[in-house]
Amino acid sequence: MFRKILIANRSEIACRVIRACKELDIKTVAVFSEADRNSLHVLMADESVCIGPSPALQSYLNIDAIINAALETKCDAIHPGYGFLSEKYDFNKKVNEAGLVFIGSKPEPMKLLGSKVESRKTMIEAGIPVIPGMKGSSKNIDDYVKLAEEIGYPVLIKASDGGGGKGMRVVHNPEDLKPSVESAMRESQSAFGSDIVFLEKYIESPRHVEIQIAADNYGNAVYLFERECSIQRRHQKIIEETPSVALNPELRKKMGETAVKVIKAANYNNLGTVEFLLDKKNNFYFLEVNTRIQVEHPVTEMTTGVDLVKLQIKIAAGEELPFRQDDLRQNGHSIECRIYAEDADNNFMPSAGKILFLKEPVGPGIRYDCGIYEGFEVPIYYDPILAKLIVWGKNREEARKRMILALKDNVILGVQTSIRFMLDVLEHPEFIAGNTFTNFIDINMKDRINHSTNDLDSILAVGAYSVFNEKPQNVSKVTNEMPTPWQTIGKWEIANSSKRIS
Amino acid sequence: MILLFNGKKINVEIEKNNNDFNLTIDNEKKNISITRFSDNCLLINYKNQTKKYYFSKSGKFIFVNSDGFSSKLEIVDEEEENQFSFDKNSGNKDNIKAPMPGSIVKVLVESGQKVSEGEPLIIVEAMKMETTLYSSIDGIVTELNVQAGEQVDSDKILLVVEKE
Repeated sequence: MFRKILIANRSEIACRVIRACKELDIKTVAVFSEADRNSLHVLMADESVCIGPSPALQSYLNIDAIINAALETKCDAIHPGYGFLSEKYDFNKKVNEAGLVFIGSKPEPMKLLGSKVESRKTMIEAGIPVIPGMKGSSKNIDDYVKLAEEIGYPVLIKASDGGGGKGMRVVHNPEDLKPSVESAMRESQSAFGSDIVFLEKYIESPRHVEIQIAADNYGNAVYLFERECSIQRRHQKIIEETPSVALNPELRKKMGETAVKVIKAANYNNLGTVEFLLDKKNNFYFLEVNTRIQVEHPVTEMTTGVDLVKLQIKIAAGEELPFRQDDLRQNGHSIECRIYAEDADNNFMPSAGKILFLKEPVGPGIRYDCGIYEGFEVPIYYDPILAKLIVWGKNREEARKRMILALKDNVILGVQTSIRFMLDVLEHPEFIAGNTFTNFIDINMKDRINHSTNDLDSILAVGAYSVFNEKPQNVSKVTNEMPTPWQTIGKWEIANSSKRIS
Repeated sequence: MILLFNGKKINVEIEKNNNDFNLTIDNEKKNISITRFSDNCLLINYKNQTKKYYFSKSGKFIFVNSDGFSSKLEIVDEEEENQFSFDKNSGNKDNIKAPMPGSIVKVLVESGQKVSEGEPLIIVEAMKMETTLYSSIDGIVTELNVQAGEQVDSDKILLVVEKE
């Protein structure tokens, strides 16, 4: 086993990895940018190294600075977390070349799976279902007509260099195909400077269902069931759950076994996630493999009892998988909400600032993976995730109700958060019914009412009190006398085992 | 005092009355009872219901949270307000401020340039999201206080557009 690990990440995931290391008696080294000098992960680690200025390009994406920090502090391995360098082949390769262990897969499978074109090719050869469509692009309209007929309408015209929905057209009828291809080309040309488009099958109201897999260095591989992550904004997941209401035992087994086939085809060896789109007829299509720990990994941990981060570290250290497929079970239901510093009423605009007050939710079946503390200044440079709230319940409805209570119990003052928005999703009849598709927010949340004026009088009373309370003439006589020990002892709670950092 | 809530100005008066407070909101007396629960928490009894409200004051902003509902109040400085409304009411001047602390991605206009209402002026980025700031009036850029790459706070006046 490793003696010391450097965590090449920040915020809640760095804290999560440090916690796993502590349980494994592994020393930890945190790295930080200048903006993160007082971040929670730095305070939690045994050692810390500044790797550069605040912009991520000069710090968390600076491969040489991170590898040097690991060598200088005599680490044996680097954990990349998620985002930043976690899926960068170059980083993985250089870590290996420096004589360190990269906690993840070997570099080559990562390279293959990182390329959409190459991985699609490999998966087609391995007999994995992919979204039917063109192999390359074409300027000949006949190719579009022929293929559309073959795979069936509706079809999707997509810009090869596109993003954000630009240059995209959904075509339902053959007579609309030609004008749609032409207008997609024009739009793509003006938006991205390239008129290369292609055609694929349009999956109507799909669900995003992904399978957690684990593979060791000895050819053993298992799936740890699914996570449904259909609730997304700007193509980013915000609420995840397991099990998915859309899967029955047969489909679950089929998707799980397909996922294992995917990672065997890529010769992959560590924790990973195989993402699929699932349509209404229970057809599923391979999207991509995430070659790292996922943000939403806790819901799998809550329902399988497997500590995925510790497993990831053990596999990288050369241990064999401690279980076989038949040993794994799903128990109960788990939901995760990502708590972001953002304004849901204003197009999810990020909100930076100082955390003036933080109350973490507590109670049975509640887990809070947190990256902030009271007094912490949320930097403007990175993804605005503050924490993840995860609950477990014996079934979906218990988990949902528990999540609602926990969200209400989670008080964060000083920045805008997504908490109210999450509550609106969880209380929506379509969510309760399990009708969670990737277009859920666009369809169900656009007419969201602003309830914040329900108790305006009370809010104003609180505001007025806080101003009144601050005025010097209201200071009572007592404060002029000797303070009592109760006043000088500061913040403390009876029998509170959680660590307070401030 | 005047509190700003969702762009609306509300007059709130508070005075101590024995162990409780008298509260007047927009000249209407309210029967609200306030009890301090902890450093950052009050119990508010209103219309026969008691609810917990968490709060924190930072400068002119007051953050309030109850049962998952978050609100932000701003204490309006009445003197500054008079000045501001004079500028704003006459519609002659538009002070462009950053909506949040961030960095200037691009300045799209030059000092002295003529701009029209709705014209993009500056692009600001924070947390990987870009926001474009637009002019609310037709006029001339009379002040330009930033350049691309600069870090700015949300209070800073980045640019001023004035009517000719």
